[in-house]
Amino acid sequence: MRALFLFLALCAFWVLLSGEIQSAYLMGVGVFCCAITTWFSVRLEIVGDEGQPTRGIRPFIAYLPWLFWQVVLANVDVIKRVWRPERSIEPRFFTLPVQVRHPVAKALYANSITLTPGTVAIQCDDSSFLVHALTDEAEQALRSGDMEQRIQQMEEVSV
Amino acid sequence: MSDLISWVLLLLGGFIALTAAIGVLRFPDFYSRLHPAGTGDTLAQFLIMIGLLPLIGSWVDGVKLVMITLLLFVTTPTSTHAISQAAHLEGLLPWKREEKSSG
Repeated sequence: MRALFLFLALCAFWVLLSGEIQSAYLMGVGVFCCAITTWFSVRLEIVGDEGQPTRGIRPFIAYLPWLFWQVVLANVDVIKRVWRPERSIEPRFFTLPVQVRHPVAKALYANSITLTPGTVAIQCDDSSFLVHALTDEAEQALRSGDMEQRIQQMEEVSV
Repeated sequence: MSDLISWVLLLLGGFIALTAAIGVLRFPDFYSRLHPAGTGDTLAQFLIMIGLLPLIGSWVDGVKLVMITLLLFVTTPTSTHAISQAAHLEGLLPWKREEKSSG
């Protein structure tokens, strides 16, 4: 079932990128490539809940605009600090306790931290991340747990 | 009109990319340089890609631009994480302000 879904998604992706639905050659090759890719994925055993976390897709889409806005805010902050004549940064490492357990949720959390300028997730352990923050504000923003709560909500829906 | 929007977005994106480059030069050590580099990877590339959208004719190319943007949003944190973890495992220590000691 998941393999079939993967196959259809790959076919849709192919059509989207090629943009040609008249050419029998392109369509034939596309179906062939998608079939081969699906077969390889099944053999590699990467077709599964971790590769296709389909249940959490709706909260994930709701999460994206919030994350994007955070990225914009963090960008503006870092840009200001770059242009300020005196150095206004206080780089530091800190350990961030992590409550989310699902591997996809943890990966999403770590990626969100890194995507936001001002914080980079360096090392990911079972129950904590080692994070490098550029400023105290960036550290406090992560410690407030706002981002983690949103990801936890997603986790609850999908597990 | 769409030309104007496009120009504003492209110039803004270019300015942020320039800022990212200056930040990489100005900031004191490896770890702090990751942050301005991140602005170039996220907001700058997003603004440039979106700024290009009104200029192109076919929707197929537009879809490709959006796909590239999404791909970069997934891959850049991964590569940033990879190089920063490599530095950390090598034992590279972060820069500390020397004049005044702050917690």
